Amino acid sequence: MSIAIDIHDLSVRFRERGHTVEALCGVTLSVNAGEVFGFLGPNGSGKTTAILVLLGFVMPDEGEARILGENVRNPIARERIGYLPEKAETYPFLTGRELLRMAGGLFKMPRAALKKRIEELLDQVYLSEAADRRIATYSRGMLQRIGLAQALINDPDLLVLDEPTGGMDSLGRMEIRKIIAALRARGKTVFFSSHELSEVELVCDHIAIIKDGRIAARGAVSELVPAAESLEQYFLRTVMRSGTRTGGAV
Amino acid sequence: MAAGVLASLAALSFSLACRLTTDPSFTPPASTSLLGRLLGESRRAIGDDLFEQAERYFHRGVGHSRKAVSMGFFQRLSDEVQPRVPEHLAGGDIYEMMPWLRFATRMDPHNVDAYLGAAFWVAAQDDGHQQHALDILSEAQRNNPDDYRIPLERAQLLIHHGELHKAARAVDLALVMWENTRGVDPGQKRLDRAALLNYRGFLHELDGRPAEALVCYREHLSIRPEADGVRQIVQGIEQGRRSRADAERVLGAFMKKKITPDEYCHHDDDHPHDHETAHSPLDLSGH
Amino acid sequence: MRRVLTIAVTVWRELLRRKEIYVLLIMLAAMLYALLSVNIFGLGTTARYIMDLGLLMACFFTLVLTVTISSRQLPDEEKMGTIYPLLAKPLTRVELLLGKWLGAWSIISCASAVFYLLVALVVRAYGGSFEWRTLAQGWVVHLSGLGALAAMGIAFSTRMTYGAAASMSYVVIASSFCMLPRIPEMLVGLKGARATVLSAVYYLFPHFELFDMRLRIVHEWGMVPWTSFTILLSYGAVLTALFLFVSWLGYRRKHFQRGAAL
Repeated sequence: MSIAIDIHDLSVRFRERGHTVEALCGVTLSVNAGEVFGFLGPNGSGKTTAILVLLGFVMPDEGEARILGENVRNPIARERIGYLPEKAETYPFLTGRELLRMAGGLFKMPRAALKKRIEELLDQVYLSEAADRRIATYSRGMLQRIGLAQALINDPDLLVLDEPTGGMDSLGRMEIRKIIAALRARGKTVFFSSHELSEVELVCDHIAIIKDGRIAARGAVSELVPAAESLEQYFLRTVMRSGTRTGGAV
Repeated sequence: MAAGVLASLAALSFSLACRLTTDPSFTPPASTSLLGRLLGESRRAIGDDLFEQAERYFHRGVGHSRKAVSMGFFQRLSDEVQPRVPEHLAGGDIYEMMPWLRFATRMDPHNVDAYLGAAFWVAAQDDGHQQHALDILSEAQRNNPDDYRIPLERAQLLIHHGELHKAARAVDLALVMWENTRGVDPGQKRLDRAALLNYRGFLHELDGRPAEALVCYREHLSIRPEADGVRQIVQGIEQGRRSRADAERVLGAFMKKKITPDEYCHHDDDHPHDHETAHSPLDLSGH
Repeated sequence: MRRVLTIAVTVWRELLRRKEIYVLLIMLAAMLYALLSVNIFGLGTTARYIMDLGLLMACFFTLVLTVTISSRQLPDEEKMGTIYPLLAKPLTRVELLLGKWLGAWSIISCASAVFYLLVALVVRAYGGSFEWRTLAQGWVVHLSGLGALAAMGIAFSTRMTYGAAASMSYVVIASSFCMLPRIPEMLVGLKGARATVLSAVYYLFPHFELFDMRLRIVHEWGMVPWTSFTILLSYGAVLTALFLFVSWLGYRRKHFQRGAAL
């Protein structure tokens, strides 16, 4: 099985008001292709920093990160990934269709193929009717769905989702879950960061829990979480103690 | 939009600064208009700048130049892009500077120079807008009732058009106002009095009153002893050599005289564009 | 190039939908109408000062647009958070900078063409005279300066907020129009360190005032010689390239942090 994400001994430090803050400290993690991987942690634990390293926004001080075999410093690494940020920020002055056309343009997709892909995606995220409306008029759920559509424009092999269901109603969450399930069925890798532990439990095969910039636990959900516990109980127990737990053994 | 706010604040601060640094030597009457209250003394500065803009138009956009160090590439390029050698507007093009004179008078109704310049050039046009020029001077007089320069300009205009009785009244008015006019350079004020006396004497001559003319010319000489032409006229009258016909000949020549931009604008090395002698005095000798 | 054009098209869409350009066009038209209705000493109106003030406003509006648009492009992307999905795509930072510059410059060029044309048509309609060739040359020179100005705004905004970058741009513009042309006069009789500093400022500061040909257009001085015209355009291109290079230096390793959300 090929590796979709390979992070090795990754450290990131920030200078803040004269102090050095260790955002990530010797993080090692790998995600197999075709997995839906949940990346969990309390606020400020380093989740988003790790995602920003994967996307090339933050350069690591030590260690290395590779996605789909390419070093994250290389823009080619981003040819085959899709990214949906936490708040699905996008241009309010564009229409949904224009946003997708722009996203496709950045992947240099042929125009005919792009047109077809846009129609497919609009249909997939239930935005065909609102496609020619300005994004400024979209609801929170519609914003999240158009954000997801732009992340999928290049039919990515790896999809990075940062809190994709944050602030959505249950119907919206269900739609996102359906899309993730469809991606898994097609063998795509989904790297999923979330606070919504019930969501993670429903869609993820494997998880990693990060605390204070270090991996506190990682493995298959079924192996890590005891049968008598929910993922939420396990998560709370894990983040309140130190040490790394792999495949159920700390 | 931020730039607009910045520009407004800059204008406001400039206006306040001008209010705080009012020239104590000359305080025009308080304005009752909204613009006047808003801008205060800054109206004078803006009016002066608009008047200068009219002068730049007269020189086809070229302003006064000062001595400068040669700065090579950029300066050479700048000289190629921006014209540096002034040329004068001519004919109907003279009107192109009128808007700036109008704005200068609107901004500062006490900018007498702007009124005088406008009246002068309006009257000097081939198609002769004498009435327009007189209207401009009437407006100037309403806004500056104590300034002798306006009746002086009116007198010149009227003499040029042969309306001698009206001209005489204007000169007399100017002579009365001369004493109380403030805000004029003292040297210029003296020269203007000399010019007024010149006109008055000339008009007396045309009216057949050489004795009164002689009094005016003598006073003129007490102000400008170097005025040899006037001295000769005084001698001519004293010796009975100069008659009313001589004065009428001078008047005829004066009425035919056309004002050209080059005559209006004198060039010299120290100050390439000096308009202080814009209103060329009447050449009484008849040459 | 496709990615650069994609970014540029997005800048176009933003500006056309924000309607700033239309507002300025309406303001220009209103100002021209106001000028036309001024009666000058009962003599009717004249056309040259309308050309002068019209072109002044056209230049001022395009200058404000250039500074506003170029300085806010990158900070707005960061503020809205759109920079994250954007740079998560195979878009290099150089391409992003070039796209932003191209988009800003091209739309401002079109806006300035409309502004110039409006002024020219109004002046012609009122019997004013000017040379179309000089006007066209002045417009091209103006565009060259705007290109450099847009690049400067982007360069400042790589490491500054929108407000700071715009303010810095205005300071540089004001200095180049008001201070630089006075330096050769100020240097008369000046020696020593002050003269050296002033000379250095004169040569190092961008001379945006060179890209202003209004005087030639309004007062019918004719076209700038072709050699000087070429030098001017080259100077504009060098300034643009220089500022874009500085932008790249400031942006290539910039870390993006999402504050408390991280």
